[in-house]
Amino acid sequence: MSANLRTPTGFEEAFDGLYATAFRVALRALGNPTAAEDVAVETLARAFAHWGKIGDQPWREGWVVRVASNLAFDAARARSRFSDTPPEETGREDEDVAARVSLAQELARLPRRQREVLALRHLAGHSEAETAEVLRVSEGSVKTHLHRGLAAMRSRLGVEMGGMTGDVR
Amino acid sequence: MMSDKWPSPSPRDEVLSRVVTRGLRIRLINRVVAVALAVSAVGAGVAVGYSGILPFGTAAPVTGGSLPYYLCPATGEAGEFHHGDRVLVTGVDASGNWLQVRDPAALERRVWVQREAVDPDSELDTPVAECSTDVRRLEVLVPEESTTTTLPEGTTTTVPEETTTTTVPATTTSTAGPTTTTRPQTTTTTTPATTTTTTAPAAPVVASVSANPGTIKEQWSGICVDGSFTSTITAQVSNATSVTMSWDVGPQPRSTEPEPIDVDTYREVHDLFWMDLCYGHPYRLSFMAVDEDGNELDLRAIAGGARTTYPGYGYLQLSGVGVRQYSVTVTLDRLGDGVEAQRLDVTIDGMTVPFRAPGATPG
Repeated sequence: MSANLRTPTGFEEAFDGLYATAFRVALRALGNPTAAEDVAVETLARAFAHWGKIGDQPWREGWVVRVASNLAFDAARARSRFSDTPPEETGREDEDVAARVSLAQELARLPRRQREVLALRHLAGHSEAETAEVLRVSEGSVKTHLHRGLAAMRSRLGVEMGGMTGDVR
Repeated sequence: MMSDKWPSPSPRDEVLSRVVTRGLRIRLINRVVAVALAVSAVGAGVAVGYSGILPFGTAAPVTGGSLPYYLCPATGEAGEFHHGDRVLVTGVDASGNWLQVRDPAALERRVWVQREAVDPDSELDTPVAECSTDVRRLEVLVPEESTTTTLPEGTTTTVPEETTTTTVPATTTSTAGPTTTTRPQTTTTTTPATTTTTTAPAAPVVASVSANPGTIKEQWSGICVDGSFTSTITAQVSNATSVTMSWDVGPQPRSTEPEPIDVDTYREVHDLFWMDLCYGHPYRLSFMAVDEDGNELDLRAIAGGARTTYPGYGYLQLSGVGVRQYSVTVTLDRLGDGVEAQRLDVTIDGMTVPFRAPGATPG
């Protein structure tokens, strides 16, 4: 089937790895494989549409992580917004969604580099070395941004952060 | 190829098929949006009253890879178009080898491209045009000399109208600073009998600043229209020995020294922004120029940002030029769920007023 698809040069070779990354990010943010698949498909479709610009770039995986995490948090926000269930009747899943939305909002307020490091480290599941490679910075820099980002998140989210830290890992 | 570690509930080939189908659709949508943006940009040019932009001209796509354009034929390169870009041809030079086209980054300007690289939609029927540097040096009004004359008590004097120099629109009122908009022909002045003449020190002048493409994008959402990820910012700076361009987005100001590409012309290729623009950060871009005597050009912002209120999709469009009075012209549009112009302001010597271009309807 794939042989019949007209894909840009290099896209199909990179597809498996990038899709896995996008899926992993979305799954960690949404906790639902089906929803994560939708996000990952949308992410890779956008990569497909812009492949001429990102295909050869060293930061293309970082791009995928950012797009996937943004789409995932948008999806989480939408699920929260359109839920018919009154707040007092929400169950564990809705609480998770609400917590993830809060996390996304606070994550969005971090400085860029801290946000990128947190997304790659905790959503994409990269090691510190992998994160450093994707962002083209030193591991020491990754650790610094990670520490500062988490400290800021903890400060803003207060007691919630303890649970969320565990959640996003 | 099916990976052993394929993570998704659906089979790999089925997912890939969905990705390609959706990707092709996004690509199509992006092209439609790009055309819509181009049309709206032209509309904006008319709306703000730029003169002589439309309806004259012939649309034409650029062929080949990238096509440099010039402020005048056979002068220094001022920027470049890309294959498939559509330009509006407004004139042809006497030799027929050069076309005058509208600069999409600054609609009121004209730039020149080589004829052979443009494939007009129809036969060119445009007037012969000459390159006039004065025309594109947009109203650089740096007073070289200011004179204060004080006269004996009771003297009545007439101040000729032509001594009044301003580009501030008549509707502008000043809240601070010595702004003179309309001076009566006859003035009665009662002051001590002294006369002083002050000459402003010579300083570099930024004649024009343009950005091509005129958008500097942010990529948080991953959504963008087709176009370059970088913007080439070009400035004409006279009487300068060094030029520094600086910008800040949020808390991290940065600066660089633009590359001199011709006499008085400097160029800087500006990378895209990632997520910095998404969350209420203003964007400011400034030039600092120093001449050989150490005189400094005022640090002037040529773009100051408004922001989308939603952390979503947006990009800055640098449609303005940096000159002394009209120092800021920024539009900020929002993409994704429509194109929505947010603001169009001009800062006149530090005072921000709603933009009132000649002939525009006050908004």
